[in-house]
Amino acid sequence: MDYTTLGLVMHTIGLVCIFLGIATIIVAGIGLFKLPDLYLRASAVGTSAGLGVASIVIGALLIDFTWLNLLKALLAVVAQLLTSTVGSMAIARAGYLNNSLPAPITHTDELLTTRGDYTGQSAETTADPEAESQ
Amino acid sequence: MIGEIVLEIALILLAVGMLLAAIRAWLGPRITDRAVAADLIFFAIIGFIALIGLRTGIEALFDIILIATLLGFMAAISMARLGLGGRR
Repeated sequence: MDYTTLGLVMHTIGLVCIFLGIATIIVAGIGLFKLPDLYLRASAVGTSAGLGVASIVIGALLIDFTWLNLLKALLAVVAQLLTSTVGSMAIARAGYLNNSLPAPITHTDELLTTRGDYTGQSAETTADPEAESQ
Repeated sequence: MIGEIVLEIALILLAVGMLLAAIRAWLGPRITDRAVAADLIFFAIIGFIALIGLRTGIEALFDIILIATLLGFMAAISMARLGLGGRR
């Protein structure tokens, strides 16, 4: 590893990117405890952990930079950002179809129309807690 | 070199995030909560691979990261299928 000025700057920026990515993953881990139901947890993991891994990969690229590594890291980042949210939403949909109840703060329930036992009630009248209480 | 110490601190911090996800996977009331936590554990493992690869200076680091990224999607879809109990 050379210690020219450009190499040192890229090394430092790479370490900053790695620590930003790790902080994002730790925030996602805290979100697994602070958020009340499965869907918010899946949202937290899918978005923030995907971004965290992308940031770690970019940091590793800046520390160990070649043009071939740039191509591979770009492919990895794009694939990570595209697939992490899709995977988490697939898990959330599995939980929904497996009768995992949403938290009471949920307002509208648009996935209700995709259930197998959907009876034709509109989503707004069944899933709005204020309308039920009044 | 200062970079090695910093990378070891980064590994410890990443282990903290993985530990949080492991506790949620242990506590999780339903199987899909555990699946979400396992998803986060897999992302932390990709970070581990990147950091250990930088620490030891292996050649094929970004190949491994690319394959692990694509494999993580398959793992998430498999866990979603597991949460559905085999239904679609």
